[in-house]
Amino acid sequence: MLITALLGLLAVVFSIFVIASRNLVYSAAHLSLLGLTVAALLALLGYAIVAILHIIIYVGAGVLFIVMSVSMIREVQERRINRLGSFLAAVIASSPLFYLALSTENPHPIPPSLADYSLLSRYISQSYWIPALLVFLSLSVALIAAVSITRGRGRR
Amino acid sequence: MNLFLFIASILFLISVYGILSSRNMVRMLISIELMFNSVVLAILSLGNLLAFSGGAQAVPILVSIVIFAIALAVSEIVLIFSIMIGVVRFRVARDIDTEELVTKER
Repeated sequence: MLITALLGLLAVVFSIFVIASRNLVYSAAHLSLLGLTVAALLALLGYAIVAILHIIIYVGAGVLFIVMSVSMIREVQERRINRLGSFLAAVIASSPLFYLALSTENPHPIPPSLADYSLLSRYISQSYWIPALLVFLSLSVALIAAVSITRGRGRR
Repeated sequence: MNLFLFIASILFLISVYGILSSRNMVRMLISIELMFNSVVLAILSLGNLLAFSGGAQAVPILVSIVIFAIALAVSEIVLIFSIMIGVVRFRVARDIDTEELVTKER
C-alpha cells in the first residue's frame, strides 16, 4: 500500500512536469519517467508481462523516439489558453473515473496464472491472430511511412 | 478506495487539462500519450476487480487488448512524429490555430 502510494505520488509529480515543463525535451523525458512508474504500478497489480512490454516497447522505443524527435525541432513560444475552463472540463471528463475509484475497493494482485506468458501467447496466436496480424501490418506501414516522410522526397 | 484507479483518474485529469490548455501540437501529443498511460492503468486495475468478482476469464482478454494497444501506440507515435518532422521541414506552423508562430527552420 505504501509503495503504491509512493509510486502514485511519483506518477502524479512526473505527469505535472510533463504538462508544466517549458522545454518540450524535458517534457518528453518526464513522460519516459512516467512510463517507468506506470510499469511499476502494473507490476504491483500482477501484470509483470505487460510491465515488461510497457518498458521495452513503449518507453524504450516510443517515448525515446518522442525525445529524439522533439530535440530535433526548434522551440517556438508556447501559448496557453483559458486555464480555468480547461481545468473544469478536465474535472468533468475525469469525474466518472474518480467516482469508480472512490466506489470500489483496492484490488489485490491477480494470480500469476491469469497473466501467464504461455497463456497470453496462446490467446494471441490462436484466438486473436487477426488483431495480431493487423498490429503487425500497422507497425510495418508506420515504419515505411516514417522513413518515406522523414526522407522528404517530393516538395523541395 | 481503489488507489490504482484513483492514480489513473488523476493522470487522466492532468492529461485532459494538458490537451485543452495548450495550443502547441507537440505538447498536445505528449498529453495524449499521458492519457494513454492513465487508460492502461485504469483498464488493468479494472481487470483486477473483475478477476476477484467472478470474471477471471476476462483478464487474459484485457491483457491481450492492452498489449495490442501498446504496439499500436508506438506505431502512432512513430507516424505522427515523422509527419511532424516533415511538416517542420516545410516551414508550416506547429501552433494549431495561429499564424504568428510559424517556424523558420531550414
